[in-house]
Amino acid sequence: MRRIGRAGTSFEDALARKVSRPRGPFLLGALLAVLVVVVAALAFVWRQYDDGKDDAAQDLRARAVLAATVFDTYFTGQLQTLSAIAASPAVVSKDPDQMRRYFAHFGPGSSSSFTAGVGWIDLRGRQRATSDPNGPVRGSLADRSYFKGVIATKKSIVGEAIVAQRSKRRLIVMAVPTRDARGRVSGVLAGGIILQQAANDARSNNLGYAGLQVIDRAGQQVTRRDLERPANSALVARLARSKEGVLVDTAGLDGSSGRVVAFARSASPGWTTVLDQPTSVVFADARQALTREAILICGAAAFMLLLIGWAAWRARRELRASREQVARWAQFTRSLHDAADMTDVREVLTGALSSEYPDGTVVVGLDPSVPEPLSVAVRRGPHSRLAELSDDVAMSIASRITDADAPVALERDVELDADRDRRRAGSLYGVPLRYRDGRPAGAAAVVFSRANRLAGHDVALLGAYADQVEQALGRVRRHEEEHDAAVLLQQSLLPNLLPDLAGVALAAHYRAGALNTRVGGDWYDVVRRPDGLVHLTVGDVAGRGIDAAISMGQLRNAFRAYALEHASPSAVIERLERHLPEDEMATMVCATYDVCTRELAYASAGHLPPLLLDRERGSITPLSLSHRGPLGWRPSGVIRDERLRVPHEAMLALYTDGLVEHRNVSIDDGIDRLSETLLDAAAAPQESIDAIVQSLAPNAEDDIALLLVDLGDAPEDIELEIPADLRTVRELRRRVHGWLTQRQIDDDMQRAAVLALNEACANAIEHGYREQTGTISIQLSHRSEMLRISVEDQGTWRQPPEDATRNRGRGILLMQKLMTKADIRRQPSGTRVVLEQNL
Amino acid sequence: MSADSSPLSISFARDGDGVLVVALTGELDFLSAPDLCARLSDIGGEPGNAVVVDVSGLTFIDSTGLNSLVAGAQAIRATSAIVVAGASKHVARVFEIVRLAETIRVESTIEDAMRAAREDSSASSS
Repeated sequence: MRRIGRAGTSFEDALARKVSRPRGPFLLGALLAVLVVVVAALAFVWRQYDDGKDDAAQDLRARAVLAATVFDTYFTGQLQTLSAIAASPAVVSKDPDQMRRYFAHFGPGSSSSFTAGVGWIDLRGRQRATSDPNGPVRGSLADRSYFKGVIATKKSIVGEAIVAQRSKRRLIVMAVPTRDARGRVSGVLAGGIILQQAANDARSNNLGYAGLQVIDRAGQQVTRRDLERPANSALVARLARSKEGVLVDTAGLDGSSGRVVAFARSASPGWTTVLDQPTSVVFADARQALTREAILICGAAAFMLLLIGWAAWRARRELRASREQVARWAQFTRSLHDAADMTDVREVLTGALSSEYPDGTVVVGLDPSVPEPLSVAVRRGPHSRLAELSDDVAMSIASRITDADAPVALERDVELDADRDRRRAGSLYGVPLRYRDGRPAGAAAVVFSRANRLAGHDVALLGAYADQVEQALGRVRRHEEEHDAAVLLQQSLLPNLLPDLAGVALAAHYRAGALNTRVGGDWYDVVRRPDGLVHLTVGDVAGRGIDAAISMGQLRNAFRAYALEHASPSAVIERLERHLPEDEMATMVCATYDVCTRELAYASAGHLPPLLLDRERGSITPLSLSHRGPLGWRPSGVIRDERLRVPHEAMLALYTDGLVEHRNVSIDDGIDRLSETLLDAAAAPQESIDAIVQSLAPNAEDDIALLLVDLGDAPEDIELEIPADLRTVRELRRRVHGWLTQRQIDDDMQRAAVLALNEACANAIEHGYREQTGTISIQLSHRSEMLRISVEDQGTWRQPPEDATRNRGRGILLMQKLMTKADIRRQPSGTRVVLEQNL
Repeated sequence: MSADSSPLSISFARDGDGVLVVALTGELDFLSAPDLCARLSDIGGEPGNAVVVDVSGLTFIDSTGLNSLVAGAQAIRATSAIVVAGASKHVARVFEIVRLAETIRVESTIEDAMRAAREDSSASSS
């Protein structure tokens, strides 16, 4: 387990590293890389597109060249044919009749390629023979360019297209010189070809000859019916400058822009074959390829971006999961630190594991004390597909792992069986929990419906949880032990029973602070002095835990001692100062009530003001206090007794700040609330005190002491004990006077009774004790018809000197005469004087 | 609530006829009695005086106080006349119970006491 625990710690480190690793630049780099690749690919594709365009243009040019060559070959053949005719004997003979007969072979209906027929023109330009059945053309043909050309060059020639005079058909006229038998030029043999309608059809278009135009030497478009010249003469001029070529993205023959023009010249007819096509058509393939590739590239890029986005999303999710895990861990350790007891630890661990594994069921068993069975908590995660585990099954799981005392990983087909229950689960992982000293403390387990649910590092995480719990258990145990000890100590130091006092109804409430703030140093006490005075005190030693409880105990013991010694509350408080350990501080208030006179004296050392409730008037008075700082505070300031006579139906409340001071409530507001609560609580202290504390501090963390004292009317019976000292008798007279006044005895009776009491006491002191110390017990009793005063001493009666006897005689005389009855009984154990007055 | 302080005050005044008036105010009890006894005895040491003890200011007197008064009066009486006067109702009742008048001359008012004192004084001196 310890080994796993350390693994868990390193897992924690790994978590921290994982969280802190930068991811932004990585993502940016990936995006940039994709961008670069896309740009490069697009550039490459563009280059390819350029090449494709180039190829297409060259292709067009090649087609133009091919066409031009075809034309060249054709016209060369035709010229050879014509030359062969010229060399025929009929032509050499210059006999028009022979020629006419010969030429008839080339007339209409023949298979001659000279569709417009042939004819011989003599040197003067007259047509002498023709294949035309209509006979030779009248008039001179000497102005014809082919005639002039042949006569001038004595070479064959292909003329420009012309429109026939008669048929109005387009003709191409070829001419060769004819020679006589001696080789002299005798004339010109001309042959004509009728140009067929050469409109582009689907077939030629498919062959790439869309937009085919042929321009003859004269710049006429032979491919057009009217032999119209192209509108774009600049282009024609340009074409004339080279033998062949291709012009990309230029103006076409008709002047429209965005054309590709390929051209080639055929030497023999002097034709320029032009393929004039729109750029969009020529480059359609290249464009298509470009589009296709661009789409491909963009698709690839999109895919890569998607991939990167997915990776980033995954990374973010992982990061968030890691952060959540770290946050959970922090929350876990914090909650664990605040855990006050075993139950808290168990709940914290259960909660933490359940939020770590929402698809699992968490079982945590902890051992509050060894002989008892484990106390088990089960929590089914919100996404768990496992049925609710019964307590027996949970107990069985926890006990087994605890007994095994080693981490458990059951990765498939887990059978969970208990006495009455059988279940199956996919996987189960558990770790034992131990105290720091190695003793088993219980176990934690997570059960899943899926097999192989946890990977190695998850199991290590379980170990880390267990490790933290180990530390917390030690702390909690120490804490619990210390708290228990402090509570025990404090309770042993606080009074078990309040004294039963005539005329004073008391109730006290003490509540130790909650465990995590630990027990405090609040105390209260009530001391009834033998002389009938009641010292009431509430105090608060600053600090918490055993130290505070010990200091409180010391102060309280000292208080009890001084309370018996001193009647004055300020005197008691002054003397307590020296009993407070060095460097400690305490506040306290002491109120001293005389039930005989209904006088209240009080003093405080930095404590909250006691509240005096006047039930008759329905008012609350905070008792103002002299400015004396807390015990242990320097400079302490002056303390003195404050005094007041309490009204009838009065109640006094002494309390510590735990009752009135809360997180969100100021002390003043708290005191106001206490005042209101006291006013509402009409019942006697014993009946109302718990409700008062409950309503003011339902779950206060600080400790609380509250002392409620009902200051009732003077009781009909009072017992007092005073020291056998004449000096105390004077005060006794005053107090008994007060009691008699309270009891509404008339003035004469009061004076008589007090004097008689005085004599009895003096008698006891002078004759009973003489110079010895001792006490005198006095009982006062008032019934409707009878006032009875009893004075008793434990002194041994000694015969006084004679003069004293005479003097004392007056005292006895006074007692006898003042009261209805004065009975003096001297016994070895002491003297008892009973004075009675009928009313 | 301390009883240490003496609540009895004793004042002396001599009138034109040479009568010494001793006025007692407060409580004459066992604590204050020795003091009174001593003071009255001192007066007794000065012959020829008439002394009136004014007890009108006494709120309380007990047997010891009475004893001290009697003892002091006896000391004075050797040389001077002494009269106790002005007792309140309660003190007078005590005087009555112990029959103080049988030992010391007791007058109800100061005026009577003064007169009586002067008479006694002249009688004793003649």
